[in-house]
This record gives sequence, C-alpha cells and structure tokens, in this order.
Amino acid sequence: MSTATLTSPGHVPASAGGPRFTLPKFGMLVFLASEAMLFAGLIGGYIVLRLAQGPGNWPPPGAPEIGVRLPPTFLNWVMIVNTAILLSSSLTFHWGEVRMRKGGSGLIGYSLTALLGAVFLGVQAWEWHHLKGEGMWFDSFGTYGSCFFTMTGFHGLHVFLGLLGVLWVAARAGLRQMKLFSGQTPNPSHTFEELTGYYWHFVDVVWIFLYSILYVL
Amino acid sequence: MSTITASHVAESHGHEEATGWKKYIWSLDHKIIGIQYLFTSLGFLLVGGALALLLRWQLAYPSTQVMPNGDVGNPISLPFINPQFYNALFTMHATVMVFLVVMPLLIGAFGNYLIPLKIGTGDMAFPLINELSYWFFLASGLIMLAGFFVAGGAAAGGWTSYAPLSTVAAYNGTKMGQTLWAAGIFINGLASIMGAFNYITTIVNMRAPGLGFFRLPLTVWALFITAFLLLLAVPVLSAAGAMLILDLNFGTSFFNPAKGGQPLLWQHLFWFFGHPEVYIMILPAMGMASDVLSIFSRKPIFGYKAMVFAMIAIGFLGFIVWGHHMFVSGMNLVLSAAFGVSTMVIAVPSAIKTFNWLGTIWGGSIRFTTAMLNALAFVAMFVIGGFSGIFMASTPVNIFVHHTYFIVAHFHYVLFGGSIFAIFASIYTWYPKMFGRMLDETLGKIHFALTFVFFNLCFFPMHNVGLGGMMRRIADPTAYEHLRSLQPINQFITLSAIGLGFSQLIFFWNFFRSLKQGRPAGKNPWQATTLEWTVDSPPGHGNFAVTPTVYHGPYEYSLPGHPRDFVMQNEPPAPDAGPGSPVRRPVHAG
Repeated sequence: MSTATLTSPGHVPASAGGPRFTLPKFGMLVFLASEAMLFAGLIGGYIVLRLAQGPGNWPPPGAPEIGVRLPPTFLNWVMIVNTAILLSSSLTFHWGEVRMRKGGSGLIGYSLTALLGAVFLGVQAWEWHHLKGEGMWFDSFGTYGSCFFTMTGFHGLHVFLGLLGVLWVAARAGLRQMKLFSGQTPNPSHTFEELTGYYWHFVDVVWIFLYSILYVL
Repeated sequence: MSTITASHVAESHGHEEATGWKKYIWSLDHKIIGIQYLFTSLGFLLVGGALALLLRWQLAYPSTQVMPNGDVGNPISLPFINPQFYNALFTMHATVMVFLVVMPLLIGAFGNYLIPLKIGTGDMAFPLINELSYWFFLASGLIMLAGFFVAGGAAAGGWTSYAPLSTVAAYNGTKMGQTLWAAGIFINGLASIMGAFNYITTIVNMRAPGLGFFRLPLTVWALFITAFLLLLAVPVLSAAGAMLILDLNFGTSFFNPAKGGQPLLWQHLFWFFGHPEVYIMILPAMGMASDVLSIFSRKPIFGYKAMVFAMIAIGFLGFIVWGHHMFVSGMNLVLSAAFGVSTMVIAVPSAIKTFNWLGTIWGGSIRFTTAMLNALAFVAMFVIGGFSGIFMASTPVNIFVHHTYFIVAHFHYVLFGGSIFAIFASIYTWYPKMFGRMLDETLGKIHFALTFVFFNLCFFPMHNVGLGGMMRRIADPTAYEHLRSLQPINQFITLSAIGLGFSQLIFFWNFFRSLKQGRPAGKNPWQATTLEWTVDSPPGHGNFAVTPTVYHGPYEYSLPGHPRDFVMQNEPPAPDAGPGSPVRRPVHAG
C-alpha cells in the first residue's frame, strides 16, 4: 500500500519552521502512547495480583520456577539469550535504516531483524510448551499462570504483528537492492520502514519491562 | 468561493470521491464517515430507547408482582420479562447508550464531520484508518447485540460487569452473552483508539495557516482533549476486557477469588477507564454547546482561554478520581477521602464553564432557535446533574445513596440532560451543513418542549425514589415492603419515559422529512464565523477549493464599528489592523 492512500496530503502546518514529524510518524507515536497504556493496565494488574499473594507465595508452591536464580538455570539462560536476541533485533533494524538513508537498501539489517524476531517467537513458543509440560498453563497455579501467559501472550502477539511489518520491510529492501543492482532509482519513500521501526523498538522496550517484572524482580 | 472540481480533489487529497452506493461503504471522506456514524448511532438510539421502555414497563407493572388477589404478575405486565431478561435489558440499555449512541454521536459523527471543516483542511490525517474505525464500531455494536440471540441471552451483569458476577458463568447465567459483551467492548475500544490518534494527529498538524491553537473553536478543543482521554483510558478497559474473556472461557483467575484472583482489580481497571469515560461523553458536548450558545447569543464566548484550561483541567482530573465509584467497596477511608476531595475539585473547572456560558448569553441578542433552546437546556440540566455529583463525591452521602435510584437520576441528568441535549443542539446547528437543508423549526420546538418536559418528569422523581431507598437493578420493586409505597411514582416515571420515547419520533420524522423537503440552507444559515460556514452545504469532496487563511478568533460576534454582527475567521482584516492584531472586544448594549 502506498502512503498516498494512507494519509492526506502534507498540509502546510500552522506552526512555522515545518513539521518535526511527518503525519504518519506523528500518528504512530500517538498510537504507541495508547499501546503503552494497554501494557500499563496489564502490568498494573500483575502488581496488584502478585502483592495480594503475600511474600513467599510467588511463585506458588509447586509451580515451575521462571525467575532468574543464581546460578542461572537452563531456562534462565534460554530467556536471557532470548532477551538479548530481541534487543539486538532493534540494533539490526536501526542499522538497516542507517544503510537505507545513506542510499543503500538495508536488506541485510532488515533481514537479520526478521530472523531475530522469528527466533524470539520460536523460543517463546518453546518456553510455553516447556512450561505446559511442567503443568503450568493459563488455568493453573492461580494468578501466577494467568498473568505469565496473558502478558507474554499479549507481547508475543505484538511481536508477531511487528514481524509481519519487518518481513514486508525486508521485501521492500530486496526490491530496492534489485533496483540498485540494475542501476535504477529505488523508491525514495522510507515511511513504512520508519513506522515499522517505531513499532518494533516499542515492542522491545515493552519486553524490557515485562522481562524485569516477570523474570527478574 | 469556487466549486471544487474532481481534478483538484484527486491531486490534493490522495483519494478519489466515491459515488453511488459505494460512497457509503468505501468512502474515505470524513464527511461521509461522520454521516455513517450519525445514522448508525441514531439507529442504535432507537434500540437503546426501546430497551429502556421495556425495563421501565417491568418496573411499573412487574411480571412477578403478587397482586392483592394472589395472582402472580400484574395484568398489564409483559410476561416475557423475567428477572434474568430484566438484567439483560438494563445492562444492554446502558451499554448501547454509552458505547453505541453517546460516544459515536459526539465523537464519531460530529468529531469526524466537524474537525477537518473547522480547522480548514480537506480530510483527516488517516482517512483509511478513519473508515476502518467506523466498521469496527459497527461490528462491535452488532456483536454486543447478538447476545440477545444466544443461549442464556445478552450480558446481564450491568454495564460495569463487576467481577465475579461477570466472570463466573454460574452467576451471570450467560457465559456466551457476557463473552460477546466483552469482545464487543474490546473491538469498540479499537475503533475509539483509531479515531483518537487520528484526531490528535489531524488537529496538531493540519490546521489552516493562521489558525493557532487559541483560535480553535471550542468544539475542536473539546474533541482534542477527549481524544487524549480516549487514547489513554480505553486501552486499560481493553486489557480488562481481555482478562474477562480469559477468565470466563480459558480458566484464568484474574478476578476469581477462589484461585487467588482479585475481584476488586476489575473495579479499579474498569473505573480507571470509566471515569475518564464520563468526561469523554460530556467534554465534546460542552464544546459544541459553547459554540451553539455563542452563535445564537451573537456574542463571543465569555472567557475563551478559561474555557480551554477548564476543559484541560477536567480531562486531567478525570484520571485521578476513579475511586469515587468504589466508596462502598471496602476502600480505606483515608483513600476514599482523597478521592472525594479530588472529585470535588472538578466542581471548580465545571463551575468556570457554567458561569462562562451564562456570561456568554448575558446581554446577548439571543435567537431562540431550536438549537439554542437545546443548548440552554444542556446548561440547566448539566447544573442539576453536576450538583448531585458533588453530593456523591462526599463519602458519607455516597454510602447512603450508592446503588439507589439517586445515582440513576444523577447520571441521566448528565448523560441525557447534558450530552443528549447538546447532541440535539448540535444536530439542529450542523444538519444544514451536513445535508444542505434546514430542519423544520416548528417541529423542532415541539420536539424540544416535549423532550424537556418529559425528561424532567421521568428523571427528577428518580431522586426521590432513590432517597426513599429504592435500589438499582431490581426487577420487581413490589417485592420489597419498603418500596411498595413508591410504586405509584415508579408508574409515573414509566409513563413519562414512554412520553419521552415517543416524543423522539417527532425528531426522527423531522430529520428524515427535511432531508428532501427542508428549506435550502445556503452556506451560512446561522451567520456563524467558523470555517465550515465558508463552504457550500454540504461541502464538496475535499472541503476547501483553496486552503483558507485564518485572521480571526472563532467568536468575533457583534464587533463595534463592523457592518455585520459577525466576522468570518478567514475574512482578511481591515487595512488598519494586521493579522496579529489583538482581538477587539465587543461592547455590549445595556
């Protein structure tokens, strides 16, 4: 979809000095404020439910331990590495954007981002499967199970939507690379890449919060 | 002003004008989307009103009443209304009115229609998202109403859906209806969020040259602030709704105390959304009523900046008062005192607005059009509803009246007396712009008079039955000894409600008849100043042939030394005054 159908024309803004953000970028930032409140609601609920259990009952007796322990367990290491994978995917995306702005295609950066995002989702699916094998699911161990699966599920859904965007970005970068090879001028619009970038970085930042309260604190 | 040509539209707005029936399905034009919202929510208004009349009939003539001769059921009762169905009736009445009538009328219909026109631009920032928002809204309404046709019936746990009533199928009796309700709320929330970031982006970035923030009509300011409330409050309800669906269907235990959950968590999440929601439903009404009062008093808004800052204050305070809905939840008394005080603080900006409305009409040459009558009714009824709100902010009073009809009276005075009268005022004011024809003033005044009288006859006595001890959400008042003496009042309320309901048929008749037979409106039937009145009625696709330049504030009425009693916002200034010259104050007679 071209940006022309997404947005109205760039009207002259009322303020002098030109727009700091294009309309789609501005809109995306405002939308992300709303997304932040969605996770704020979930995190607020988690804090209430966890404190209500009282000290020593979180995780409840018999539930699999997911919190980081010293020395770290195998599952701890898996999620530490997975967190690093998701965070580094923000760096690779940024790298792709820098290359793209300098006239390249950014294909390598964007493809790496898609790969890392997919690996993150795969590892999380493995973790869900592993925990389910140990008897922990949405409906077991009370609010402990409910919170963990709902919050990581909501986040995973966001990563999945972001991943679709990144895949599309990577496809666009591939097209751009082909045009560069054949000496044509690539599509000068970077709007879709920039919007996907905002969303992807946001989803990463949310994970930092979720990882902190679900696994570390 | 030249007519807008198709070629101009194509090159400047990124989307073509749709024609014929396609116009009403695929059009990305904000005006068509606004009209889609208008017709759809007026349709839902009929549904919500019918639900109200059914539940009122049950309260006056209960199907379970034990008659003096020992028969069960009042002879003129509706036998299909059993207590479970009664619960579904009031739950869905509130849900429909809040989510499918008042919000979409104020924000979906008038927000969409008026924002681009009033800020002098061709469309919203994201027309496609705008249209998606409408379809999500329509789907959410159909999903919620589909509850009436599933096993167990529609959601019956109240529009607040308190846990564990809502989260345990054995309690609410309709797992499917409750799930559809929550799914509908979630989808409705998506529609609201799409609208909210669209409005904010549009208002910040697409104002016409010269249209600074403090030259925006109050309608636009109100919708701007409302959009922030939607943006930040609605996602919290979405999170809660998702938890509710999971609790009902997937065995999670967020709100289930048997498994360590917290029923009170639902109340906090719900009212964190729910109180800003109250202002979501009144702020746009305040903004539009301000414009109507100024137009028909032929005077500038009294204290324009105070009005803006009062709305900002109301919007901010709205986020820190949600606990006043929960005074009887066993809340810590110190906390309830804090919530009580923060709630009463809202009376300050509300009073600023009320006195400024009075200041606006004071000494004006008032034109008593139907729109003006409705706007005046808005102010008066909002004051009554606002006052009873202050009573309830006080914890001791609240504990006495909580869950009685006093509360029902209060919020109907704000929501019907406030929002709906402002909506009528807005429809009478902007209908000529939307459809190019005037509504009939005689029918309009009859409709207004009947609505105003029946509204007060219907809702004022609810204060009395509430203080008399009548509880909300009971299917049969005659089952309670202490309420039997109130039954004649309940019957009186029901008859008034029927009068109120049938008075609206006059409005619908006027609305549809005037589409074809109304007097042609012309560009500016009310001699108003803002940008939407500079273009044809209805405006062409793309609104403005040339982007207007704004030289004036939105309320320059009755300026001394001016040939007319109003100055259009885009009228170039007189040679002696530059565009930056301060707004000249009118001198009012007397």
